Amino acid sequence: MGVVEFEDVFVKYETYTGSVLALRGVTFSLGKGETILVMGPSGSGKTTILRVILGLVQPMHGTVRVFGMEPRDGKTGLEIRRRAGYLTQEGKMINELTVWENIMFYAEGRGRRVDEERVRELARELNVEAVLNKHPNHLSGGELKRAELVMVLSDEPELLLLDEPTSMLDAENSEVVIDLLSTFKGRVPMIVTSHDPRLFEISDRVLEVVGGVVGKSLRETAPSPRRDSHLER
Amino acid sequence: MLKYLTKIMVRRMSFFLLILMSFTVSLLIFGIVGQVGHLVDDNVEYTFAHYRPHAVYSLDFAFGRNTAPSAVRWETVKVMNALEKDLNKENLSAGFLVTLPVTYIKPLKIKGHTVYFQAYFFRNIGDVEEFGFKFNRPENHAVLLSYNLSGNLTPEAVSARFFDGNASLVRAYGIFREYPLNHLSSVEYVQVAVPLTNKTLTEYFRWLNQDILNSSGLRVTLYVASNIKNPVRDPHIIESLVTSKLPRSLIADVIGFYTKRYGKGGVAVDVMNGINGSRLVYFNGTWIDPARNEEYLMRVINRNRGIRSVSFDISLRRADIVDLVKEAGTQTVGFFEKYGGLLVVIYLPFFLLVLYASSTVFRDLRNDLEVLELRGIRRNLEVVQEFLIFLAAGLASAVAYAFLSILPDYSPSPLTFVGVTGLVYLTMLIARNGSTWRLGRGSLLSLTALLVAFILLGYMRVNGLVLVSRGYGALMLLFSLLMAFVPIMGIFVGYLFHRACSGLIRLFEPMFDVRYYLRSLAGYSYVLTFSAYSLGIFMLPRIASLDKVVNAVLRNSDYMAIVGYNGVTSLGLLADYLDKLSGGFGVMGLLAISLIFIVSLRKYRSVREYSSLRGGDLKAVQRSFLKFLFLKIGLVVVLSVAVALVLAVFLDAYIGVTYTSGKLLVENGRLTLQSLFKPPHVLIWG
Ligand SMILES: Nc1ncnc2c1ncn2[C@@H]1O[C@H](COP(=O)(O)OP(=O)(O)OP(=O)(O)O)[C@@H](O)[C@H]1O
Ligand SMILES: [Mg+2]
Repeated sequence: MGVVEFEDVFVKYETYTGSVLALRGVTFSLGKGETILVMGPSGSGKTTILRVILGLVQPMHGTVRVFGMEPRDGKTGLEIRRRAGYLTQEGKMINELTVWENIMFYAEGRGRRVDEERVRELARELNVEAVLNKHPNHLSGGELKRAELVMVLSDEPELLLLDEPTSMLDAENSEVVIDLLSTFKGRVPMIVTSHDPRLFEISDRVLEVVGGVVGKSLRETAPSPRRDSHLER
Repeated sequence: MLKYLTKIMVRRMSFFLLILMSFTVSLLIFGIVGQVGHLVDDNVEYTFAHYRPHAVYSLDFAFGRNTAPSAVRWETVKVMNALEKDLNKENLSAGFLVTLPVTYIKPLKIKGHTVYFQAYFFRNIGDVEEFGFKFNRPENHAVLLSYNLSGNLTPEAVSARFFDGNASLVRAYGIFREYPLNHLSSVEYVQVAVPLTNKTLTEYFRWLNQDILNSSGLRVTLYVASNIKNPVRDPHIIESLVTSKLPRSLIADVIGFYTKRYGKGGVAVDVMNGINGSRLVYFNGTWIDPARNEEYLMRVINRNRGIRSVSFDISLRRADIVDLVKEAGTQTVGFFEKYGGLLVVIYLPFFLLVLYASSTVFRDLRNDLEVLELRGIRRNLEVVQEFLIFLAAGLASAVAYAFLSILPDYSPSPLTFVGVTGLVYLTMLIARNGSTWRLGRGSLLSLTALLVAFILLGYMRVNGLVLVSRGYGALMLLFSLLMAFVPIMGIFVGYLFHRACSGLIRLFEPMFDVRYYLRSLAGYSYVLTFSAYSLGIFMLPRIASLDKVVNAVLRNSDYMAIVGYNGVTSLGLLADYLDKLSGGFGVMGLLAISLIFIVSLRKYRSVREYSSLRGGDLKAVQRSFLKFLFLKIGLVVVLSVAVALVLAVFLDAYIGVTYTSGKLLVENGRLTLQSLFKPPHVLIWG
């Protein structure tokens, strides 16, 4: 049994103008210690997959199991979110606290003990030690992304969900992130979404999502490095 | 955990704003509620300060057959001075007028008219003023008090005949309620006040009716206006002061005057007290009741041959002050009835600010929660934070309560505290559960139309009465509907200014690169609104003068009769009230500006730090900051002037609608307007 299991999952978003079917029958499973790279064009449903795993979005059809639980009610969802580490696509921290305080608050709020040395070490590795005492809204996009990564990695999660970890980063910093992530590979199961072909190296499997449907592309199908709007920015 | 939660809250400006707003709004309502009681006091105070005369006594002296003007003058002046000295000691200001009964003077036959003429003699013009008369040139002129003449006969012509050619008369106006004037209906008359000199008295005495004089002797009436300097709030105290203490001391003074003049055993003073209906004779230190001890009295008088016998009557003509003190409560209720809508328009925008502030707080809170939710942090933190928010707002309200409790005149009741805090909480709950509060385009347009219609009608002094008299009775219904909408305009006015404020901020955007500050300020547009609005209220009494209306009513006794004393008092009170209010709002407005100033200074410092790290042009940063500050101050100034103007125009319209009044008569089955009072515009420039 995998850490994450999707079976024929459909997700529908209700909007003011109508509804959007974001996932249309997604089936896959993530084994222990496995790393999956989710690729696909913008709007194809990558982030939605992560949100379903965290119980932030409820599927309209199909079953989802995470750590053997169905993230259906608030309680299991909360438990899953507490055990998983989620790097958001746009970088989400509380602006009123400094990065350091955010990290402490994060760990305490999840009921973990904080290893301050470990936090500093991660920050040093990701070149964000200098911004620890700043407020998130005073950081550049790339700094914020890496600061959030420090936070997510700092409290030893049982599952890593990383939404475009190298977006907004220059080549050098992207390498640093990929290097660091490779040290978690095999130890912690990971789902990484990205357009970045370099992440291909650390993944065991690639899921190609197009229009909410998972193609059956596997490791053998090397994704062509597309230069879409996300990378430009 | 709690440590971080409090940190988040405390570092958030919206939280401080909510506290500030709930403090201010609580202060305002506690103030208003306290003012209901306070206004009763204000009412009494205003009455004591402006209403004249408080009480009028008349003292009738019998002068026998001695009609020498100089003797009459000598004696009455002596009596007046003695009375004045004593009344001043009692903390009263007094005025005196001397006159003869109107029948003692032969009426004047002039151009086929028969005109009765009555002169009131005063020592100095201040005496006339103590009776409530006002005039433009307060010198020792002859003052025309009232007249009723037909044809082309002027009061000046009549007066000239009496006083040998000296015809210059100053016209009096003011709140005078018939006394001391004799109301001579259906005859032509002129009543003037003239200086008490040997010359004027001699000239006047030429017109004495010798027949009446020979039969009953000369009688002189001395009117005493006594005006109390320190307000008395207890009707019982003022009643006993006016009906027993003051008359007793007046009697004692007159007796003192005569005993000093003729010696203790040289005079018997016969006092008719019309106030308590007693008659007593004072002789040599004792009071004798002539009804019971007539025999004794005769014996005494006979034994002391050559003693003088003087007599005088004292009566209380009017004591309106007693009624006014008794009615102060009713008047206060009337005040709120009359100006409730206006006050709501002035105050309601502040509640809107609580709504805005708390909706920002809760929006921020929701954003936090979203972040916390992503991270699997316990949800009950939400409860903790909301508890903190409500606690803080409640505390702010409590501080306002404590603050006002220190002031002796206000001190609201604990029940009021519960009510006000409840109201603040209710507003916060509305903000918490509703999404952002917005008026749609349609309602915005229709409210603007209503506001404009109200202002136009009020400015033109058109109200229900005018509509009916012009034959547009059918429009009355629409007009009443418009009046009912007045309080709702309060919400709208605040919203309008808030929109204007954020609109103006956005206007600056393309001018130069201040995006950073602007973004930081966009959320504070309601603080700007708050400070502009407060400063607008501060300016209101400086560009609108209600005294103009008060004076206009007073100057015209016809309208005075229509508007009524209460209408004038409450208008004067409103002027006082707005004036008093404005000071407090000025302070609040400045506080809010300084808050904004501090916020932007903090932003500036962080920008400067940032740009010095990256080697940016510090001078440019400084320049753009200063430019920004000036613009912001300009923004607040422009907006507060706009607020003041709108409020002033609104006030003008409100006064126009409320005070336009007149007499409607039915003639041949049709309504006609006999007289119409249109209050002058309250704006100081028009
Ligand atoms: N909260 C939402 N409400 C309505 N529609 C949504 C919502 N979130 C996502 N969608 C829609 O669902 C679809 C999938 O969105 P999703 O964010 O999963 O795409 P993505 O693959 O992560 O794209 P990107 O590469 O741009 O991040 C899109 O069409 C998007 O417009
Ligand atoms: Mg995405």
